[in-house]
Amino acid sequence: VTELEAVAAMCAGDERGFEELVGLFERRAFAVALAMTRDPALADDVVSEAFLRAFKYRGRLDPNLAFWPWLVRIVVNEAHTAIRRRARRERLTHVLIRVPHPREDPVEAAEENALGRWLLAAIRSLPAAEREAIQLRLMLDMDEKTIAHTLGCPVGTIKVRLHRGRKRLRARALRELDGFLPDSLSLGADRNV
Amino acid sequence: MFDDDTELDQELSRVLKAYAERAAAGHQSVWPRVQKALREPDQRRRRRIPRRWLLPVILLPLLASAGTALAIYSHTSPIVWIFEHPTKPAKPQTVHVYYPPPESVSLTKAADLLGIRLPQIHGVPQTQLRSVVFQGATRRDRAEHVPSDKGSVTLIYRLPGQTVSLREYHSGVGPLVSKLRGSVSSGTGKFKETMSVITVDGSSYEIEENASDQVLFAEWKTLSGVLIVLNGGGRISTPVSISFVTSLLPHIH
Repeated sequence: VTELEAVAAMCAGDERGFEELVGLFERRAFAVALAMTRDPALADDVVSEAFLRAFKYRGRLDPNLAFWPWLVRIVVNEAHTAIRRRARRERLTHVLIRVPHPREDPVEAAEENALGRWLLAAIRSLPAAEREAIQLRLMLDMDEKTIAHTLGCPVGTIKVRLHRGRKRLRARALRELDGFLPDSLSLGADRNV
Repeated sequence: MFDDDTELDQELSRVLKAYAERAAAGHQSVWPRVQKALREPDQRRRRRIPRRWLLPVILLPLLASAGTALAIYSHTSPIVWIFEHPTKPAKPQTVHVYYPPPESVSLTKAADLLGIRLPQIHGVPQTQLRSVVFQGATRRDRAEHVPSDKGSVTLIYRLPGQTVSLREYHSGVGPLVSKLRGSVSSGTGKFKETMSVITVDGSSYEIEENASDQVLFAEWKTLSGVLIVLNGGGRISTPVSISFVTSLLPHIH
């Protein structure tokens, strides 16, 4: 079954066509959701919700067009909603029951390289817009035009975000790492390439 | 370290891709979840607030806001009342407006809050503001609201920071305020001699000459309600009973 056939079937309300599409695009959707949220569990939720929304609003999709560009916008919107909800929940739990936040991400903690852990933490501390642009660019190798389409903003905006994000990271590295590099943090110490 | 973007990008890309690989390794297809959700009715998919959130998220804020409102209410003396126009007894509602006691409330401000048009008290022609200023008022504002057919509306205003002392007694039946004896200086509004006010239900108020406070009774025929402002900060320490004088005769003295 080709993508277009699956889209046509889904648009006609056929669940099997929809299942085909889920199988085809699930991993890409998960990768984007992960790049947006940096939380595998949340990315799973985002993908599920995005597919459900896609099925619910299948009437708005032109069966002659590619499915992915339409789906990725849904994924991004769902990811933004999920991130907002997560932030709200974390603030609330922090206030109410003094749970420290943000909680540690086990996938992030599995990074063996100390510099890698530092970088992951540094990216997490970036403003959301810059973090998203950098993660889509460097985690998924998206070019600026694709990122712009995915996030629904002009290419120039993405360039600015990438530039500012990198600048922030370099400044932080200069502040926190330069001249104070323990062996474990050095670039070549225990790099797992 | 990371002198140029290339070096930084390489390192970031390596770290992020490794992260994505690890995350994707534990990823399972979402199709079973999606399929299950598709088969459930929409109502079942509606997000519900978990029960464990009931107390901290819903009940505690509710209790807190109720407690705050109660605390504000209990620390606030009623100082502004507005009564329905005496000629409209079919609408005997009373609107209570509460203010923090220490705050002085100007007549203008009170009128603004109550949404009524207010003539100026000071500096207006006496023909428009048929009012007197006299010293003394009441600490026992327990006269009942009695609708009057006079059609006049009276504004009663106690000036900020001043207290009121009116002696109340009952003597038969009469108009809401049948007489107000005594005189004041029309120019300054200063009290000259003891005055008495007889209300329609027979209550009479004697305004003492040596009282230190002032009350302004301003009659205003176009006003659609009677505003009684007893400003905070005076000697009235307990909430005054709901009804006071609702109307005065057009000619106060």
